[in-house]
Amino acid sequence: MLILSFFCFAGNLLVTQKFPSYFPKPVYALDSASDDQILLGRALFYDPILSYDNTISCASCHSPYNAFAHTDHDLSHGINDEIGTRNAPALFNLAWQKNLMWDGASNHLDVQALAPITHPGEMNESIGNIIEKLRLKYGYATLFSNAYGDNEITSKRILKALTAFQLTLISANAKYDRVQKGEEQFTAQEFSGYSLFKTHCNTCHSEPLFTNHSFANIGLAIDATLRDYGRWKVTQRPQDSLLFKVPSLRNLSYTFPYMHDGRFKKLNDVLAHYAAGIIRSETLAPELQQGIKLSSNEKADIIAFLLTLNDQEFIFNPDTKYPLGIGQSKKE
Amino acid sequence: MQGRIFSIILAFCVMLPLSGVAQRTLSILPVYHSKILSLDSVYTNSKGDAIRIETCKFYISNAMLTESLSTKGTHLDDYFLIDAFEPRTWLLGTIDTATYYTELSFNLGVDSVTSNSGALDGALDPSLGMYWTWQSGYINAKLEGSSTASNARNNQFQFHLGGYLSPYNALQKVKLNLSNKADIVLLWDIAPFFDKVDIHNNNHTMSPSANAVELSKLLASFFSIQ
Repeated sequence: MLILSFFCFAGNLLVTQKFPSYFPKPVYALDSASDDQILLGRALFYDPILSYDNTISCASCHSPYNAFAHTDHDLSHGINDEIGTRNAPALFNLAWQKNLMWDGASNHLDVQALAPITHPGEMNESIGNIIEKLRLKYGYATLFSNAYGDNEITSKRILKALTAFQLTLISANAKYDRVQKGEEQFTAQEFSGYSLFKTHCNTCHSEPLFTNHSFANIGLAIDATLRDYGRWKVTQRPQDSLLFKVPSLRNLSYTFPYMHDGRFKKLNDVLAHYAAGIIRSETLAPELQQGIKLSSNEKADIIAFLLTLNDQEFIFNPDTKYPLGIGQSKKE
Repeated sequence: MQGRIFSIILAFCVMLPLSGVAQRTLSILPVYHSKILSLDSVYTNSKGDAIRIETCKFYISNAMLTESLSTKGTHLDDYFLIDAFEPRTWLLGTIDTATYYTELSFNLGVDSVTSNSGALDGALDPSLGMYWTWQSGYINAKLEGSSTASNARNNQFQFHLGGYLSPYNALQKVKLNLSNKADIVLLWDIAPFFDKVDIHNNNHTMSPSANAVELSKLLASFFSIQ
C-alpha cells in the first residue's frame, strides 16, 4: 500500500506556477493541478472538437500570438461565421480574476468555458455531446487517464483541465517587470510616462496587474447596434448600467482593437477618448468626471510606458502553444 | 387517490435494499392535487385552463432533521436534483428509525457559496441542464409545459427560476413540523401554482429577477408533510 501511494504521488507531480513577489495572492490555487491535467487542458483548448461542427477551438478567438485575444476583430465570431457582440478578451493572469467576461457574468474560471461552448453564435455545442465526441477521438483516453487516474470523461474533468491550462497563462516578464526586479531601467520617456500613468490611470489599471478587477463606466457612447449595458444585465442594479470590466493593460500591442466592442484600433484613439470623448451619464466613473487631459508629449510618454507592458516571453512561450501530436490524430 | 400514493410509498420500500433491518425513509412526492404528477396528464386549474407539464425539476439541499428536546440533528450532506417524472430521484435517504424528529428544514435551490465553487459533479454537474451557461448560477427550479392560458408561442410556459445574488437571491428555506416516527413523505403539490400565477401574462422567466424570487417563494410554499 505504501509503495502504491508513493507511485500515485510520483505520478502526480505538482506544478508550482511562478509569479513575481510583488504580485498579489492569486484567487485560484496555482499548485493544485498536475502537469498531466494542464496538458489535457491544453489539448482541449486547441481542439475544435469543442464546437458543434468541429471548426472552432478556444484558440480561434484566443490566439496565443495575440496574448490569447482576437486581434483585428472588433467583435469575435463563432461557427458558421456568426458574429458575436463583444471583443474576445486577452487571457493571461486569470489566476487573479474572480469574475470573468466583460460584464463579470462568470463567477469562476471553471464555469466560464460553458458560456462560449454553448452560445449559439460561438461554439453552439453541449458538454454532453463533447463528452461523446472525446470518447471516440484517438488520444483522449490516455490524456484523461494520465490526468485523472482513469479514462472516464466528465464535464467536471473537462472544465477543471481547461482551468488548469488557463492558470498557466501568466504574463509577468515585460520590461516593466524587469525594471521592478532591478534587471533593467526605464528610459527617460518611459519613466515620465510611468509618473503620468500613476497620476492618471493607476486607480483602476492598478499595478502590478494593471487592473483592479472592478467594473467601470468610462463614458463610451452606446453602440446603437449592440445596445450593450454591460454589468447591469448581470446584477440588474441600475448603478451597474454601462459598467464593463477594467481590462489589464499588459500586452496592449498584441491585443488591439480595444474596449468591450473593439471600437478603438489604436492606443491614440483610446487616449483621445479619455481626453475629449467621454459621454457623461449617471454611472460615469468618478475619476473621469473631468476627463484626462494630456499634452501630445504626455500622450507620447504614456504610450512609451504602456509599451513596456508587452511581454514577449509570454507571447512566445512554447509551453502554451498548440500541442503538436497530442490528441490530434483522428482514428475513429 | 390515497391508495395510489400509498402504492408509490410501498414501491419505495421495495426499492430499498433488503438488509433485514427496518428502514425509515425520507422522500418527496410531487403531485397535482393528490395525484402523482404525470407527463401524459392534462390538468385543469381553478380557472378552467388546460395545463400540460413537460419538465419539472428542482434542487433540494442542506436538509436537516431536528430531534425533539435537543438541538441535535441529522444533516443530509447531499444535493438532490428532484425530477418529478423520475421516481428514482424522489428518495432523499434513509433515517434513524428510533429517533423522534420534530422538524425538517431544507433549501429549495443551491446556495450562493456552492454557486461560486466552480465545476462540480453529481447532482450539481453543470451539464444536467440546471446550470445557466451565459451567466453563472444554478437553476433552482425548472418548470416547463403548455397551457391554454399562455399567450406565448405554442401556448408554452417556461420558468427557469434561480439567482444567487442580492436582491434577486431565489433560494428558499423551508421548515416543516414532524409529528411521529413514521416514514417522512414530503408532499409537493404544484396545483396551486396554476391557480395563483397569471399564465396568460407571466409565462416565462429565464433569468434572476423579482418575478423569479416571487415564483420561487410560491413553489416553496407547496411542501407539506403527508
